[in-house]
Amino acid sequence: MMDPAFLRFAGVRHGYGARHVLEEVDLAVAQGEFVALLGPSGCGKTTLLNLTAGFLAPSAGDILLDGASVRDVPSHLRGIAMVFQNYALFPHMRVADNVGFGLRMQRVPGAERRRRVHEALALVQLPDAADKYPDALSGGQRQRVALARALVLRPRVLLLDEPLSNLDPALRANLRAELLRLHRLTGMTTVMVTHDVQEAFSVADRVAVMMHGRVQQYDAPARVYRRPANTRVADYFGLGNRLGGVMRACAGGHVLDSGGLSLPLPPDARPGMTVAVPAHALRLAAAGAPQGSLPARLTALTYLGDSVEFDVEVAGQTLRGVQPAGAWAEPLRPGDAVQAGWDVADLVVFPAEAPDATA
Amino acid sequence: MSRRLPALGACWTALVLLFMLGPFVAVILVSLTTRDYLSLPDQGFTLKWYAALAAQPELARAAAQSLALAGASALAAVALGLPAAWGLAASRARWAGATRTLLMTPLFIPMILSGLAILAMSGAVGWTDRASRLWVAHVALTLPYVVRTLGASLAALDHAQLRAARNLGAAPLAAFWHVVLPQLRPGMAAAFVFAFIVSFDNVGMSLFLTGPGISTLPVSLYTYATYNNDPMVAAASVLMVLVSLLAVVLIERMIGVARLVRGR
Amino acid sequence: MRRPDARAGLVLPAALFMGLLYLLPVLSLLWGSVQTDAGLSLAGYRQFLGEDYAWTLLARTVLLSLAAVLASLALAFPVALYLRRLSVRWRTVLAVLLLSPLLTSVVVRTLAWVILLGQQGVVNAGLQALGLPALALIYNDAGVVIGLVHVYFGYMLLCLLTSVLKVDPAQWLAAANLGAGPWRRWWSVILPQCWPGVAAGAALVFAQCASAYVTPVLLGGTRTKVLATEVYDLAMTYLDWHGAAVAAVVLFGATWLFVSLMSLPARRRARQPA
Repeated sequence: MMDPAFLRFAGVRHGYGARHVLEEVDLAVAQGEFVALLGPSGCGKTTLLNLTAGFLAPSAGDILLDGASVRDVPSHLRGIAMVFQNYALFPHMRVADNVGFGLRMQRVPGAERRRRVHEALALVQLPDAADKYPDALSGGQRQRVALARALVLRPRVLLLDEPLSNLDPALRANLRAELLRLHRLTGMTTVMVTHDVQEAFSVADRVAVMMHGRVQQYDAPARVYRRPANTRVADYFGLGNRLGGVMRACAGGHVLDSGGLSLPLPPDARPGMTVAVPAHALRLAAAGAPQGSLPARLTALTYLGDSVEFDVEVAGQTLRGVQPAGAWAEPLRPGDAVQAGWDVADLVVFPAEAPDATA
Repeated sequence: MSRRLPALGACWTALVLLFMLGPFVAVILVSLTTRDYLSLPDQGFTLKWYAALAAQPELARAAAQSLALAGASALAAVALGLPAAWGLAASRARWAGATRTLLMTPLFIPMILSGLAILAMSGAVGWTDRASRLWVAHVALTLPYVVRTLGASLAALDHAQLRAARNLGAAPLAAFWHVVLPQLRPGMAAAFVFAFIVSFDNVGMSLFLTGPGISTLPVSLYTYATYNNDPMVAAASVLMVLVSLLAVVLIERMIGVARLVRGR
Repeated sequence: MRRPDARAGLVLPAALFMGLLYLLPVLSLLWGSVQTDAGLSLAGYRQFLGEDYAWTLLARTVLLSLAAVLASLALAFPVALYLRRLSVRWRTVLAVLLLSPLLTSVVVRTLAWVILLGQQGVVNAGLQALGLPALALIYNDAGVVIGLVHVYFGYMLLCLLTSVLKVDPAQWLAAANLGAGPWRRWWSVILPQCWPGVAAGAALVFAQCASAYVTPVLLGGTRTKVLATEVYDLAMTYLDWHGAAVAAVVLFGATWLFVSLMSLPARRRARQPA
């Protein structure tokens, strides 16, 4: 039977003695897919990347590429190219020699090598950088040289280790777009490691949320965000505003009784699950009852520049929201009576767990 | 903060500087004296002591032997020390720490002890060729400096580059050759110069291992100075200092002392 | 990296070289010093240490070395503190000037002092020109200490400088802000944090001074003999290699003992909270 997954991790474990960095990782990446490994430091995502590249060997389990095990294949024979977090460019070589290094190791003849290096540099939009040295380039440019160095080898899988974390915030948006563009152009199967939620969501087809050496959830970004697999994942996204109250069955689903109100819930809410209102979904308006909103009292208001953060008491709970700044917020003062509301479809539900459960 | 303190500090440092460098100035001056005994050149300058030095067959021969020995020792020390430093840089295993200490022992063991030891043991096994014995002793003496200098250079290297090279298809030797060695050139040059000057200057160990047939300049100079008190001693000292000065300049240009004194 | 054992082989040539051609002779000498014709015996040590002469030598060696340590410490500390205030460029220039004598031969440095301190040496000539009496600064303990301090000063400065530069500059300001005068700042804030450097410098300088040979001979003359002189005489003049070995081991042992004693306060302080 043909394995539909191009890159597959089967029961991968890695650890030293009593301490296991990775526990039973099963993951399948389809060909041409862009997958992000997202999680806090220490969750094992970088270890998984290093295992894929071949710098480490798994204590147990296997790694399969296109149906064949690469567990015992040396790093440079796997056809898996890696872009390092600090780029690891060779400072004593010009850009062209850096990019062409892998081709030189493969004994690709000079003329073809130069042609492919030129192609790769054009691909990352650095056609004039060939004769420069890495220290003459900006961080973003070095990033792209590192990408070119990996892509020129036409690898089967591209690995990215925290590609955006070393860059200024302004540059990150540009590089994100660049990664997406390259992915569309090359159709390269890509695995990216990051701790930044935005970075993962903005480029990946699917996100694997990792914690404590396990994959907690593996799904498209929107689904991961709206339906986190458990409390830990929800915490990682900074999802607050957990609604307290009693869930009660009613016609068509469940409602949440709280503060004298019955709050409608999404159809897949079940007793025992936690319901939360994402901060950006919490809408605020001056008193005057637009349809479907609830009476509330504003208790705090903080101006953050491009956004406004606020605390409201509604339905017997205190919720925190954040909305884009605008003239609408000018007249509001803490203590005002306001209207608060949200779309039921925006509510996030996830299975609640005992606080000390380990997955 | 008191404004007097920096002024006091500057004065003190100036005095210490005078203490440290003054004697060298005195030696230069004395080497130019027209008198026949150690004195300042208050009656005029002359280069006759340098000429006398060149005419002294023993000292001239010792100088040539010193230079050759230093070169040969430094080469061998770098040849041994480069792979050793590279091997040690890779490993965090326990044996690495112990081996590093082993390679550093000449820095801890007094030359009086080790010079005597090599003399005694080589006599016991019938190894009487002075030149090779001296060479081996000098290689052992200079090896710690080579390993330390190269170790510092290797520590400054970004090891992610090695993984990148491996990932791009380089075998371990190719990775070392293409990625590490080119970045190591200044460090290797500095290590060579360090080893050279340590060997050239050495007297403690060489005293035991020189004799008829082979001597070094410091030893010959020392022997001469115990019987004579004339300004030729100063002239020879000046020439030796020039070699040291060249070494300092070269090392400073290659790896820089600035790294040592950068602080926070 | 996988298979680190391959890299272990790279260390082997140097390790074998050092082990066989340096360490082995030293160990062999140590072993030989406790051998006599009758087998394992400390007779050599009993004979050597039984004589008052040996103890005189040992005492002189230790005292001269300690004097050199204290003098170089006193000279170097203010310099290190001053260098700290300078810009990196000036600090480098001065450091190079003060440390580069370390790369000259001991013989050269000592001969410079022979020239300076002699009866008709430069120093006395200067004093006489000023109408002051000549000083006996050579062929005695004073001359040897001066020479030793000059020769090994660089090591003390290097150790102290490293330590001093590690101290957070903000601590000087904090101490001043909290009312400490300059002496107090040094004594209560800086010095405690510099003990490792002080201990390292003291150990290094002491070890070098205790086994110094050329400097005591050229500057001390026949009256100021140290243990190193005895080792050399026994070996090269009297060809009593066994006696020389014993003396050398006694020297090494005494050095090691004092160096350990000097490192103790630093280690104890390091373990205590500030």
